[in-house]
This record gives sequence, C-alpha cells and structure tokens, in this order.
Amino acid sequence: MADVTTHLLFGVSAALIVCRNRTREEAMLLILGSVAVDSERPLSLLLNYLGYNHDFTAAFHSLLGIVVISYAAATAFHIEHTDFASRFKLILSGTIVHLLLDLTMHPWLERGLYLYPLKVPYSFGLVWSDFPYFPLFGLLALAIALVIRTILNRFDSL
Amino acid sequence: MSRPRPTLRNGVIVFSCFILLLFTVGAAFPYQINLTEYSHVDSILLATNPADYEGEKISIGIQIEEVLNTSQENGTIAATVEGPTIKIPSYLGSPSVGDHLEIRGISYLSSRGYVEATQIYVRDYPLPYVSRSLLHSILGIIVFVAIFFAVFRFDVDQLRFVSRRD
Repeated sequence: MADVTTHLLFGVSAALIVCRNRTREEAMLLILGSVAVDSERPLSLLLNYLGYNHDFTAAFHSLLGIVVISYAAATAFHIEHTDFASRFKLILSGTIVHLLLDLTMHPWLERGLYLYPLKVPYSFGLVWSDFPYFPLFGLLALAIALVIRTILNRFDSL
Repeated sequence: MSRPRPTLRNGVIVFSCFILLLFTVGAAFPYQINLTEYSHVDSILLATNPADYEGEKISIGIQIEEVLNTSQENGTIAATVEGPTIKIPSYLGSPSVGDHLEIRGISYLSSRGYVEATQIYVRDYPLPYVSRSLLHSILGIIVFVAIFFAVFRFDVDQLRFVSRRD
C-alpha cells in the first residue's frame, strides 16, 4: 500500500476542497478517513511475523471494509452541529480517497484489492507500493488543491 | 418516529461482526478468484499445502533466507523465510540473502521441491525489515497524530472524541 504520508497529503488535499466551507473538525474527519484504512497494518505485520494467514489488509481495503470503518469511526465522535450521517459521509469520503490511491498500485493484477468478501482482485496496475515518488505526488496534489481552493474562494467573493 | 442515532455500542458491534466475517471468510474461502493466469497465494499457505498448487501459475511474496545452490547453469536455488524454496533463472538475476521479492512463477514444490520464477520484483528495503513505504510513513503518522489531537480530545465520560473547542 502507499505510505501514510502520501495518504495524509491526499486526504488533506481533498479536505481543502471538499471542506473549505466546513469546520476544521469536519475536515479532520475526512483526513481521518484517508489514513484510517491502514489502521490494521500494525496488527497485520505482527500476525505475518508470527506466521498467521489472514485477510486483514484485503478486508479493510475493500468497499465493505471502508463502509464498516466509516460507520464505526463515525460513532466514536461527538461534534456540535453535525449528525451521524454527516460524520459518516465525511469519513467515507476520506476512505474512498485512500482506496483510489491504493488502486494505482499492484502492477500484477492478481495482487490487487479485493471486492471483499469476494476475493476478486482489481487495480489500476501502475506502480509498486514502494514507488519512491509517492510523497512527491502527494505534495503535488496538495499544491493543486491549494490553487483550486484559492480559485473557488475568489469565485465566492465575487 | 425518528430513527435513533447510532451509538458507540453500535459501532463496536458492527466492527466486531466484520472481524468475525473476516475470520469466517478466511477459513471457508482461503483461495482467490483468478482474473489473471496467476493465482496470488499466501506463501505460508503454499508451503503447508503444496499439492494444491502443483503445476499452477502462482504469485507470492517472499524473503530470501539462504542461497542454497548457485552452481546450476540456468539459475539459483534459494530458501525463503516463509518456507517455499524458489528457483530463479539466471536471466532474472541473482537474489541476495535478505531480499524481499515478489515472484510470479510455477509451483513445482511437490515434484521438484521449488517454485520456478518467471518474473520477479525486488522490493525496496533501505533498512533491514523496513520497507521504503514504511520509512515514508513515519512522518505521516507523527503529523496525523499531532493534527488529530490538536483538533480533538478524548472525553472519558462520553467515551468519544470531542472537539477541543467544545
């Protein structure tokens, strides 16, 4: 999977545009979604080290997984003037950004993400997860998001 | 009548059911549905059930533990940390101990005792046991935790994250 820094940069980039007229708490929920999908990695690495076969990464990095993560995470917050549906949608938006980035990987398509619980792999098949320039693409996304946000703010002020 | 809003208890129940589904699917359906000619196989599963994949095109991730035989004209035999022995033809290069490889190949574990590689990708591990992806993640984890707790705090009474401005 792509590194957390790149996921964070893409999440912040999305939040700058999507949440530009929202509170910082709501923006933070979208950013949370963009990194929360990888929350299983420490446990997965430990289980791998201990020799246990499991589908943690595949299950979390699936459409079903992000819905579950978003639902569970949305129940763990209480933010004034936001309801559960808003929190769920914001976190889900972040998880979708995460999945889209991870889908750029796995040049060998059989290593792609799953339509879990169906173990049918899919990906855009572009680069391996240790592609060294991922963070630079994240910075580029951030720069583009700042430009777009500035333009949109100018339109609002006209 | 309005629908009651989901509580933390609902979230824990849903997440727990998902984890249960994960273990159930893992036990009941350990094999992938193939869309390419190669099957992605867990390398440990391959080592414990080699007969299931004999003669099949497979895709595995392994780490070289020991180079066993370099005298073969057409390749190198190497033992892996995960269990399966692999044979890498000379045209794919020579692996080193500690290398993390993604391998596409044909499993001959039952008949010949190795997986014969047809394609390999050597993963980037700048430090032992630390991939480039993990190295790049360190800064992101620190920054995320910092900005998250700059915005939210954990309310012990409610058992929820609340805004620091509230």
